Amino acid sequence: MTDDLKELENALRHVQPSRLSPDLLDRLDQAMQKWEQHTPESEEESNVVPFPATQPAKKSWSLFSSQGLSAAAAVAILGASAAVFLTPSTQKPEEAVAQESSSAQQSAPKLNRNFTNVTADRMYWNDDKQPMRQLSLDYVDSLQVTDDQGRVLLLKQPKRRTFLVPLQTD
Amino acid sequence: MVSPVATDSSSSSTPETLSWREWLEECGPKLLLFARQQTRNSQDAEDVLQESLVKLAKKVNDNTFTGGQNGWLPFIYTSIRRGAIDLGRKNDRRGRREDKAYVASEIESGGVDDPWFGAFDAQDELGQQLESALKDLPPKFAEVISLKVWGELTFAEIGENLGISQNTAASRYRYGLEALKKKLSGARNRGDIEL
Repeated sequence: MTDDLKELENALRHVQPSRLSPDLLDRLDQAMQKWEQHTPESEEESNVVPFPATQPAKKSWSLFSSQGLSAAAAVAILGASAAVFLTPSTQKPEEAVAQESSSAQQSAPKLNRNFTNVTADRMYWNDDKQPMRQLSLDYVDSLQVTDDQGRVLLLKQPKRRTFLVPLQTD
Repeated sequence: MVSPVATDSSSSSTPETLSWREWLEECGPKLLLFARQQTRNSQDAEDVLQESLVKLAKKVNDNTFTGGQNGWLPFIYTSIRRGAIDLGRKNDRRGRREDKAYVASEIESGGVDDPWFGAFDAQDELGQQLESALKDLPPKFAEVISLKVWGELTFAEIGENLGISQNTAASRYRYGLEALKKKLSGARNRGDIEL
């Protein structure tokens, strides 16, 4: 636990719950003194063994849920990427080599991504009273290209992506 | 009527004789606080607390209570929680007429007839702010805070009381404190309370 939460905890311990009023104290004292006359209605429950706590039923996975749609979108992207990168070339091998050598002075662009920082920020509560932690991911995309005159250009773009991650409380 | 005898079966310490009243004066405030959190109004809280105390008195006098005096508080907390759940179901079946009447009286009185926290001179505002903040918290977080801070239970005891794991109890406590800190920070920044 962080220091500020410990500080809050200590401060809370100094706030005392309200004392019982004299009337309530008398009433409760009398009830405990004469417990035979105050048998609770749920007396039979004292002999009942409660069922063990059960895990909440997991939500059924549906294709049309947010998770299902995300999975479908991921599959679609993977499939499209595979189609792009794995499409067999219609060129003959010797033609491909000739074309490669003619553009040798232009090197392929280099794309790079560097993660610079990950932070766990504030906590939020969603509409379902579920605590969520905000995570921020900082990274820099850089692209290095060489033009036909041999000049090397480096493009950098800093980015930040923010996620809300549900915190486990059950 | 036999007064409860506080004995520790796990040690050879000298038994102490406590009257119910003495024990109530010491532990009653935190029990009532928990009962208020578990129920809809002060009257229900007092009824549930009384019912739980009667159960304890019966078991102690029948010599059917196991665990000694150290087990009284956890027993009462568990009993309060179960009693509140049962009472809630009964109230749902009975209808909302009584609730409406109570809400009307709360509005008329400003809801300050039964403050949850003692009114100290310098902390009256803090008590009110704290009560309001706890009421705003989801119940499963507020009850863990109540049991840990004022009930002085361990996370293992809290988990057993609420039917959750020790780690879950600790998580709810930490997240609940974070939420509480955020809710109280506004009043703190305004200088309404010192925390």
